[in-house]
Amino acid sequence: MPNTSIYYQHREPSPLRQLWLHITANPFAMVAFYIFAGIMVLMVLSPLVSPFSSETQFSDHVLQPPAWHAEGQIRFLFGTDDLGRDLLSRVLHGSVYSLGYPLLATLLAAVIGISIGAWAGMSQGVQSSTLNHLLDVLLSIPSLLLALVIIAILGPALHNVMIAITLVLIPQFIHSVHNAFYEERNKEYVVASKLNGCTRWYLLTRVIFPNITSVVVMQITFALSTAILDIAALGFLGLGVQAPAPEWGTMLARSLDQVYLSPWTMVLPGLALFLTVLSINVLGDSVRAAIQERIRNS
Amino acid sequence: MTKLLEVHAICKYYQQKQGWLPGRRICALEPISFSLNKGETLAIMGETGSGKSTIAKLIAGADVPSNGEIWLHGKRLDPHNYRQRCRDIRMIFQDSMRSLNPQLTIGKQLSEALKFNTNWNLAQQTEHVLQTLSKVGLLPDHYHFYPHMLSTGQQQRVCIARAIILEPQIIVADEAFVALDPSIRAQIINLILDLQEDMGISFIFVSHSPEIVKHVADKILIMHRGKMIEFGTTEALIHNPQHQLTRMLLQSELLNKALKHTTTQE
Repeated sequence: MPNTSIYYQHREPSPLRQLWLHITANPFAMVAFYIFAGIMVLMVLSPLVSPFSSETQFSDHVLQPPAWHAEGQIRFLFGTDDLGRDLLSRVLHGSVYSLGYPLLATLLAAVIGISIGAWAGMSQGVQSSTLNHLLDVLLSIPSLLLALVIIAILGPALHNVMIAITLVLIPQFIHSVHNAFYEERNKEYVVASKLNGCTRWYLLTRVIFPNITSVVVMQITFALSTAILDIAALGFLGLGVQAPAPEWGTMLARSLDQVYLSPWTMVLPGLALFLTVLSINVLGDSVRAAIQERIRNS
Repeated sequence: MTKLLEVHAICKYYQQKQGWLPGRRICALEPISFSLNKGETLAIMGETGSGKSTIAKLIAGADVPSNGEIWLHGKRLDPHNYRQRCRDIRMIFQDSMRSLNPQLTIGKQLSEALKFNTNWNLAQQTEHVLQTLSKVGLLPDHYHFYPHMLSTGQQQRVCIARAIILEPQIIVADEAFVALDPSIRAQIINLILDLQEDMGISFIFVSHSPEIVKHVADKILIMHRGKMIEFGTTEALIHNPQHQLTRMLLQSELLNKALKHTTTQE
């Protein structure tokens, strides 16, 4: 409705907007949201904003402390590592590996998992059960362990890690989407739409799906934090992204032997990882709290 | 002349499953037959759990009968063909809030039926939705509202709008007036009576209230434990009830009133 009225008009927000208002009312959630948004922007812009390439070595500036240290230089804001590479550039470039790839794996898992889950939720009986429990075997093994098994077979490489993590995340999506669909499917408004003569596809995408978006958003945030931690852990163990690449977990592992000599080489990538995962978790948690709040109020 | 609606021995059984074993069969509705003429109003009364709502759902197509057939204008209705059915039979649900999709605006929900059952373009659909909204006493502004912004009475009106938007021949209402307070209930019943006069709709409704039934219904069907125990014109059932239960259901209001009267006097 174009807001042409010049008089005061009380307008109640739409359900999704209500959810957003709940989240914005929570200061922690907003801080987490801005941190996460900032990290995302830096990730996208990392080739432009990072001062050097991630592999440029400055042989006369090996183990330079960060700029705020007495011996630091403003040229290397976060200092340099034992090979003289600029740490700021490496952390920025690393965000592509440590946030971009998990994001890709999560989205892939979400697309596959939601389609199977929705299919299972719309069908009945044995078909529904089969689809729902299709990948349950994967749930019995912890994600990291399963990734290790897959890497043991296929060899340590980034794409193998991606395959492993995507596979592990899919069953969680299937379960949550299937359950949400199952709950909504027999509600009266769905029956009413069915009696309107809607096609199954319309019922699935327009009637039921908008009512479970909050569940999907929540599941995506949790899956994302799992994916980030798993890729970093595999990198740390030397099984994921291989050494010259500036992945945060790999950087942590490399700097482990010099932690007393140059603590910043360890603290800074660790801090980046910590902030990313924390902001995603807080965001996911507040989305869940907002959903519960809305359910309680309605 | 063929009747508008003929119901032939429809029944409904539920299977109560316990694990893998085939479970007990629970009978919600025993085979029942009746018929309805054009423009008539049928009231279904009975105790809780007597199968009233089951009949309503079966006729509207929200549920599939275990056996039996429903004929409309001498044509058999396929229980799975919603599109065939929704042009002629529409349902008003008991809980108006829950029967509206919380994520869609009223206008979108109303045009949903038009989208799938007419080949009108968007402008025609919108036009018709606005007309229907004004018919049930809502404003064009309500087109853009979400269900939670409306009061219960307004939601009920939206549900009625959804029922009449395809200009059906039969409307089935499953205790649609229970949640409303008396003044709004009266308004909505008058609204339905007006619509019935204008559009010649037959109306089947499930109700507890003998007052409304007496006021509105042409025929009454009394249910008890899944069985039809009496079916006849309102006149006949009020003056000459054959069963004790019929008398109790139809006269409970009188008893209540008498009781209230005595207590207020004391």
